[in-house]
Amino acid sequence: MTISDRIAALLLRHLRKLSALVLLIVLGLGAGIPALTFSADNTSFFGKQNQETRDLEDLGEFYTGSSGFLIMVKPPEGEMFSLNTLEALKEMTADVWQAPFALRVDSPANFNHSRSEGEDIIVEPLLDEYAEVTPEVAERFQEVVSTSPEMRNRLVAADLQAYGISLNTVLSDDFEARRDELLAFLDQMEADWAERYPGFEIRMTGDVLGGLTLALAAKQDILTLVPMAFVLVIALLLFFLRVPLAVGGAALVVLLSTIGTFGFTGFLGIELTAGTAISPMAVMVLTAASCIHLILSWFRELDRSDRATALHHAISENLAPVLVTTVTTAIGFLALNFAEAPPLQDMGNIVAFGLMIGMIANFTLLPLALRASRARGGDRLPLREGMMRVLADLAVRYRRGWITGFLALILVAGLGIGRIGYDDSLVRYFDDRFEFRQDSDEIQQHLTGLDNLQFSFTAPEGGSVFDPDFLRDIDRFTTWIETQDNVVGVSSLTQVIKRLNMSMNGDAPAFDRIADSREANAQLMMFYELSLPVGLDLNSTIDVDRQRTRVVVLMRAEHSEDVRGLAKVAEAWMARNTPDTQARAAGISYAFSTVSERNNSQMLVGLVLVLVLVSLIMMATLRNARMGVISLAPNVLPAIFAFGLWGISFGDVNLGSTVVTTMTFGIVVDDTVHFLMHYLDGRKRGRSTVDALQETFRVVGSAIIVTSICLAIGFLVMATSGFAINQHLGALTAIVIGFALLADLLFLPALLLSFDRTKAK
Amino acid sequence: MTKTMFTAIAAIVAALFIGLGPASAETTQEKGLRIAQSVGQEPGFRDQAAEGEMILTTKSGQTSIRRFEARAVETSPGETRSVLTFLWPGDIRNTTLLTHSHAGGRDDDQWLYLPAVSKVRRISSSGRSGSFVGSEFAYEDMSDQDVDKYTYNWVADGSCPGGGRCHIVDRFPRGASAYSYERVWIEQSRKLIQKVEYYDRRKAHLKTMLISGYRKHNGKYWRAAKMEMSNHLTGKGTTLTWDGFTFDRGVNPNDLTVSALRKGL
Repeated sequence: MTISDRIAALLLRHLRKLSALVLLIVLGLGAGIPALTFSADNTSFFGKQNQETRDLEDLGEFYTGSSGFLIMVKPPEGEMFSLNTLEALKEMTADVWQAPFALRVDSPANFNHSRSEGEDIIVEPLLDEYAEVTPEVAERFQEVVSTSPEMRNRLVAADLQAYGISLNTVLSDDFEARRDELLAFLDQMEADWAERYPGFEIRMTGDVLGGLTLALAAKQDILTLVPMAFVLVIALLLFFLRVPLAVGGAALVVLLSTIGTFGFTGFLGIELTAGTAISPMAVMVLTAASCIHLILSWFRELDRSDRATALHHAISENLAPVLVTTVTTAIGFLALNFAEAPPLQDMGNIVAFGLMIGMIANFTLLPLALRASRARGGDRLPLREGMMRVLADLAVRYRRGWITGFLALILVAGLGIGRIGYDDSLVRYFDDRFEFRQDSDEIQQHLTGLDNLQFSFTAPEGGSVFDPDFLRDIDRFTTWIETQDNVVGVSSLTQVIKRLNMSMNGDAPAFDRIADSREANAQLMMFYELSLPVGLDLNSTIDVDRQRTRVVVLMRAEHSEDVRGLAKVAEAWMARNTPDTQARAAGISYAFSTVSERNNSQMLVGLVLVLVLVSLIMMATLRNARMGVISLAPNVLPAIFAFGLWGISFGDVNLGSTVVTTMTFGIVVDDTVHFLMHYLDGRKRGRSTVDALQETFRVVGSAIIVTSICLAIGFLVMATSGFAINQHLGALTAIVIGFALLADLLFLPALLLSFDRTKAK
Repeated sequence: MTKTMFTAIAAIVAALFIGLGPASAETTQEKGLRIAQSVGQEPGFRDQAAEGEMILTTKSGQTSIRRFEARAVETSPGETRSVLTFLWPGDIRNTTLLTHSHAGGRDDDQWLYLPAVSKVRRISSSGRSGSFVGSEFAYEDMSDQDVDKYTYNWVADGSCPGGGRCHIVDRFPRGASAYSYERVWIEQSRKLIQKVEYYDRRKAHLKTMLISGYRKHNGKYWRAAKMEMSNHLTGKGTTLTWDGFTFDRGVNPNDLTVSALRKGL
């Protein structure tokens, strides 16, 4: 008796007890489900250690940190400057000031306009909060609003069709409770406005709303996609396997693996976010695939032996391949720990654990169900042996064609891969079904840009931000970057100093420059600072120690490449033109724009490791080094084809795509394992390559096809998520699995026929 | 700013008790006003000078220092002229803020002298509610707490943060302010302000100022040595310490004018 036989016998002898034990373990894990939490942190995708994250933290440390909201107010057509509209804008501004934890509110109504009046510089809001808007006030308002470069593209649309009200809040401590209170207020406010100001279009965006939409997307995916995938997978099993009790057993196994996975996540306190919420779905479809292998071999055995023997054989025959495939799949997922983005690491660990639960249930609860079944075999299955024979003939007869075809595909894929770009942005991660995306798009289209680059400059050792040389460099940089593509506005300390210097000198254009001494610049800023009303302070631009100042570049970007590109060009410009005054690009837009590239380079290490490990496992399992090498081809090519196809049809990938190659390698290798184990088994029994192939197709062909279809459909369900990371991850994985099926059925036999001739006898 | 400060600062002085036992039908508003009027009674006060140092602390623990010297002279009851000259940071050394504060609830006038460009400029009143030189103090927190600038409501009597018994009085700004109201703890025995809580426009508790280290100078002027302001929204704080008080040195009010400022005080 082989080890597999002995284990199978042991399992069957204690099947009830073992099943009860597994059930207990899973239910115990299930107790962790109530502890599941959802993260609404939009920085959760960034690695904790990398430069972008540290720069982002520095910005928060040195400058007034805040959580921002931007509200777009679009008055009815032609009413932009009517008295009614201005009254409304004034009231809205006052309403927004009532928001909990508000630090600062900026709107055209409270915009501090400065003008010279004789010797005096008068700074006052455009609309007096406590006075009625008169036609004279409205006229001056229209004049200032139409011409102020500081407001254009930020608080006023360039085409004068919409206003912006920006709200900055401080939520840092007790973030969630504060956020919920604030959002409840804003919801109520929006509802009030809809009633009070009919005809006004109100849109809202901001990082807090984006973060919250992450959690919303995660919940939606769990509540809709996970059940949908479950139903679909079970329906597919029913279609392909027909035996209700077997499918019922598989459904139970799949369900338990899902519960176990969610519970495990809850126990570990891993916060679910839009990128991790569907991890249990991957467990679900992968576990279903393992069940299919067991059930199909059980059918085959039923055709030729009695019920007890059939079950015993099915188990012993599947122990090794299922163990190996589960381990290789788990390795693929565990390699996600090489990714920088914590949610992707979490996903890898969650799935790897869930797979183990699924495997244990697969060998206990499923056999229990099969034992109870009265099914007589697989004669009524939709995929008949005849079909497999035809398929094997096709594979064998046209093997040169398949090899040529696959090689040609590599070229085509290479072209497609060349077209792939990385596009990551919090806004574009969500599709149109989310209000956040709709509103953000409208605001970006009609009012302003939603991306920004921040450059935090540090004054030279022993100096201060007011050193004239330092400021002149920043001024040159500011003036330069204002003219770059996609830039809709720049805010820089130098603009304020230049304006003040001019006002201080009777508006003489000759003084539209940085003052000549550090003292003069510092004193000009002090004058400015003493004029600022509540909520405004210099700390949003200068750190309290006066050693650092930041330039914020507001961008209307359609693609991460715009953000990355400008960052790169800006850094190069500084190196060339202001070598003494340089800063790295930073900020959340920038961190997103680089997140895929960073992950990808990290994942390459993971990929190599997985390739080596899995190939070693393959060689050990097959006890054949040559086969291990041959097996690489049908498992590496599908990812190349899939990315090639993606590059040709869609072009851009995102964070989710960066892990697909590594993750799918562990998955697609499974079919190759099943295929090669049977093939080599046949060869060992003295069959020729062609005969061994025919036999392999007969035995595992349908299992490979059915599991691939289930997996592809399961991951396609993931692709229907409203969240781009899941869309890409799901769609690309499904495509990879599709190509892998073709590679296993057509390319692998051709390879074996070409390279395995030597050891036929 | 100065008297300003001193008043605030000092929050001031008890010295005289104001006699007049509470009338039986006194409302809480009247009681609040009466208590407020009892604060800061300093007969014979003419002028004073002191040095101040602010330590600004951010939430992450970054700190920064501002130092200045202040002089103030009373020109008539409720009318004060004051100057505040910065000593540190070095690049704003000798930058001077001149304030004329007026009685009867009229807005103060303020000018800044910028020595590096030899200019004097008036500062618009909108800045009174904003941060003072980057600190958590607004100018209005330190400015003249002229009784006329608020309405009052007595809330309760309770224990003071630094020990002893306090009147707790709410005061509501009459003019433009960043606050909806301020809650003030006034020590009953010496009539000194021990603590002020600032409530923002939506009546949320924004900041708290604790005043401590009161000492009696020249046998009659109570002045605080330390004022600690913490901002509950941003987590930032500022500690203002006062030192080197001198009184009645015969400061000439005519030296505290715009034209004198132009010549460089």
